[in-house]
Amino acid sequence: MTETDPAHVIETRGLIKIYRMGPTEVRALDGVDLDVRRGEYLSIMGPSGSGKSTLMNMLGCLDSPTEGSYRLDGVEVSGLTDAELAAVRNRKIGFVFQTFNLLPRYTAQVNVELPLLYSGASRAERRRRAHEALQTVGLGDRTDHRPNELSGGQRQRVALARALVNDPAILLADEPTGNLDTRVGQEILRLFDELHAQGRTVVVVTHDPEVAARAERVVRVVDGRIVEDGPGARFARTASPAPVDGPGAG
Amino acid sequence: MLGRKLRREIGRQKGQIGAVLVVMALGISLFVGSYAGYLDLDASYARSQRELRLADVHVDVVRATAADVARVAGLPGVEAAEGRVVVSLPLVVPGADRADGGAGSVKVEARFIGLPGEGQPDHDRVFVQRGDLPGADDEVLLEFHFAEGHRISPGDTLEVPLPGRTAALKVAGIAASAEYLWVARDAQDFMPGPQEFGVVWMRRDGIRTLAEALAPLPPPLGLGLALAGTAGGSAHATAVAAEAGASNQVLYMLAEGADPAAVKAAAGEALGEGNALASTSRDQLVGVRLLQMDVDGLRDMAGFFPVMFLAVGAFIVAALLSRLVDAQRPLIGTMLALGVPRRRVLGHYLSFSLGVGAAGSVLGALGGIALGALLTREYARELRIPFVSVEVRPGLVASGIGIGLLVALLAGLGPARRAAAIPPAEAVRPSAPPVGRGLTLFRHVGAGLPVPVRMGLRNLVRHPGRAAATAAGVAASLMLVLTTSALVDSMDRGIDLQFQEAMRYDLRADLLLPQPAEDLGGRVAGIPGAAVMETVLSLPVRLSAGGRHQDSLLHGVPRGASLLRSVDFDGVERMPRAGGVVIGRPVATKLGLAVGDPVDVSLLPSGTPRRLRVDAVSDTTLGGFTVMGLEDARGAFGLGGLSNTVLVGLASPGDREAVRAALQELPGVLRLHDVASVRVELGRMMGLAYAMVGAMLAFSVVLAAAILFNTATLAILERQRELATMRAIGRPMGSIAAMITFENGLLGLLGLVAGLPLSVWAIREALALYSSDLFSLPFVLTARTFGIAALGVVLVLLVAEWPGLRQVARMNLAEVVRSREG
Ligand SMILES: Nc1ncnc2c1ncn2[C@@H]1O[C@H](COP(=O)(O)OP(=O)(O)O)[C@@H](O)[C@H]1O
Ligand SMILES: [Mg+2]
Repeated sequence: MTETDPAHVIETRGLIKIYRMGPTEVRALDGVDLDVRRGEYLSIMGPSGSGKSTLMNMLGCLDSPTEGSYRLDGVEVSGLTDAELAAVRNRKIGFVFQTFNLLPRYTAQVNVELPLLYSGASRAERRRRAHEALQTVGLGDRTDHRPNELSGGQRQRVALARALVNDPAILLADEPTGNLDTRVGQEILRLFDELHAQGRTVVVVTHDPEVAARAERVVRVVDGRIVEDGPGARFARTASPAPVDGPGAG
Repeated sequence: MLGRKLRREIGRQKGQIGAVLVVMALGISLFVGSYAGYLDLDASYARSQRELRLADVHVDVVRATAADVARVAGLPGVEAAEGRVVVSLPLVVPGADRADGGAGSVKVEARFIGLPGEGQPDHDRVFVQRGDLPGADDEVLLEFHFAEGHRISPGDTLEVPLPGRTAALKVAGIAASAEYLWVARDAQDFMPGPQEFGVVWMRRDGIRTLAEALAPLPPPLGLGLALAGTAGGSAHATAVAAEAGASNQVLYMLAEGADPAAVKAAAGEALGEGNALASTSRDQLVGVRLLQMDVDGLRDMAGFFPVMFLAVGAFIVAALLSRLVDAQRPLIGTMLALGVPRRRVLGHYLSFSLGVGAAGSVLGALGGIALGALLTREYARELRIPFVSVEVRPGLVASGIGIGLLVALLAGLGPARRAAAIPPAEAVRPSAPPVGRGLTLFRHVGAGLPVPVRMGLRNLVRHPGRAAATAAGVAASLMLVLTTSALVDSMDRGIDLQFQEAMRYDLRADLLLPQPAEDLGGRVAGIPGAAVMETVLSLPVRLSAGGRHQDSLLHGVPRGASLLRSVDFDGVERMPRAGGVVIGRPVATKLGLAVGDPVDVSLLPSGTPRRLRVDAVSDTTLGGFTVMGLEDARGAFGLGGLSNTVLVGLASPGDREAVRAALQELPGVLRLHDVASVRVELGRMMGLAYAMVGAMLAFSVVLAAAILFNTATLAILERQRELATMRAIGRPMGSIAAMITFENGLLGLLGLVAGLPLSVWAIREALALYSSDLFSLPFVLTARTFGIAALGVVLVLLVAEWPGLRQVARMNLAEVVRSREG
């Protein structure tokens, strides 16, 4: 067992995920070692089917690895029960989904309050924090709108507010701009930049080089393995990413 | 938050939730109501029997003296014993203003039961409702069915025809008795109308006076046997009644913990060899049995229908919830991803089904309390139950609610657990959740058929679960509707067989003693209006085989008889050959007899057994009659040339009153039997049965509609997105409707094919439930009934598409196609 580095919010070692579909096995993750520092802006890139979403599911505690260890904020996650995992998701992780996944027929305010509902905050506290989060994403004047009364970009900002409302240790986003047009996508990415600037840990999964380029560090995944790990284009426009050829990189 | 979501869901699914509520509430109220009614009535009967000291055992005896009775009373295991006389005498109700609308004096068979000189007997007491116990030897107390049937009040006078004079009897009062809450003459004639039969109590000494006046009648050819009815209605009984202190029935109460069989044997011995004819325990008395069967029917109803309703309710809840869960998969995934614990998701969906269950159960329990009270009150009023015992049963109400909640919980558990097991990663997956893998086996189904047909077929095999659910819904609906309608057909056919095929006479006169058939025939032939006449023998007999006995009524009918025949359920006449008898199914079952077997037949009360042969076993609606050739019967029982029953067919219904009047004036007539009044009586009883079956049919239709609407609506809603996408790519709504109709038609057909054998099975079960040795019904399933039920089911299924299709037509396509989230 490696010592936990307190600077690392994420530490995975030998993460393997195998999907069994009848007689066939899909090795979606094939030994992933990944460390993410607190406050880092990381993007995970790779072609479709390479295992990005699977990795993201592991990092978000949405699913358990077949093998390997995962420490989130210093806590080994692989041994936790389902209820404990739910609590971890609730307190430490903020999700942004490609399809927004807002509750239809509920106002933006209610949607953002949702995670607080299960962390024991009082009603007034919930209202205040949800409102703050909506202001952070620039929707302070849209709190009473329902998802179908909002544009795609506004919906994704509500989702971002919902991800932030619990003040999570990491913000995880899977193809956050996948359902948005370029201009609106840019707005969302600017918000990510701001959040990073405020010191948040951000992990964005994408197949789009433009999106990946905004991160300070890019990890490239192919066939369930990390094949490249280096600075993002914006930070190292001249340097080509360093190839990775062994575990423990980063 | 989740609560609010729940309320919204309830708001959106109003139709289906309304259906579940109705179905569950009906189920629970039927359970609580029928069971409370059953318990109350059962307790009321038991209490009435206890308060009126209905004897544990009634022993019909040839003749018992006070010393015989004292010996029985002294037996270990006997708490108390008492002798009494029971004798049938003709009784004339003068100028009767009859409840059946007829007028003129009527001669009926009255069963006179002896009372002590003062007060009540020790056993089988009477509950005087109007007037008083007889205060003198020439006063009578009338059983209330009889009094009401003739609108007789205390103070009226009735007459007993005696040789050369009439005895006038004053009505002292009107009473109910535990033995005759249901008035049955015997097991063969278990619902005689008041125009034929009545129960009358009179002081023992008064009965003796009447019997003495009748006793000089010559005993028939030295036989001295009971010929005109069972033990009570006989020349022999009259002779016993004429003898001071003698009894022909001994009643006793068992001591606590006594062995009934041992006491019965000891009592038989104490009464002397061959003296005890039949020993009937309290719950085997015909009237008591019929009441019990009636009450047990309520209990069965408390079981059967609630089970059906709750099963359908559970089915709808499960289907609704499944659909909800499927539609909310991404939502559930998101909630789980946001850290909602799984048990909260489970709890959320369970609370949905429990909420529906609780509302239905509470409504149902309230309805059930009202229904139970109504049932008991109506029964108690109709039957004049002397001691009614009504209880509030919080336990029963609580179990009703508990059952409703449990059913809802079980119904919701599957879908709720499925919801809680959704992987949270589901939320992240942008593609739609996988639906129905289908049966790869049928991948090439319909190849070569036109495209729309092929698509329809493939849709069905692609979602085998959904297709099976719809087909099962159709099959269950068909079964429900068909079973109840077939029950109506069976009742109609059973009654027709009995009254159009078997009993084809209009009037029957039973004589106190057999008379020479020729004289009798001559007298009846002279009655204007009597178009057809046959003289027959009706003899109370005991059939024995393999050490077992069964008492029955034997009809000796002439060859080629047209007025009284033995007709089987298949409509075929079954008549015996020389030396043979035709017996009823219940007798055959009880004695283990098959065609060709020997059977010993003896006249009751104590004739010599004759060995005869079983020529046929006949299924008939009413009772187990035994049929024999007339000449054969005369030979076997030494009654050459005699008959004791006259059957008359009327020239026209208008002659009825005149022929009745003439027949009851014939010498020696004990009783007139009018098929029209039997039909009135049967109609009254069947009216109740029809009402019951009618209610069952209505319930079945409600259930079937609920099943069909839910299966059809859900089947469409489940594939709402798919259908909306079809519309989006330009498929016209009409074509979509045609496709759905084709699919439903196919599934309907499948369901009908599966439902038919299911229905046949269910009809047979239902008939078995309602048949006994007293009464049974033929299996009838007509093409017409099947056609109507099948057509109805399929039509409802097709109509049931509409709400779902309308919703598809109204869907905002842009919304649906853009994203499943708002
Ligand atoms: N739930 C699952 N069941 C079976 N196979 C899966 C599942 N999720 C992903 N996979 C497979 O794992 C591999 C990686 O998938 P994914 O992580 O979604 O890739 P990406 O997000 O990079 O496109 C693919 O081959 C995919 O088919
Ligand atoms: Mg992906």
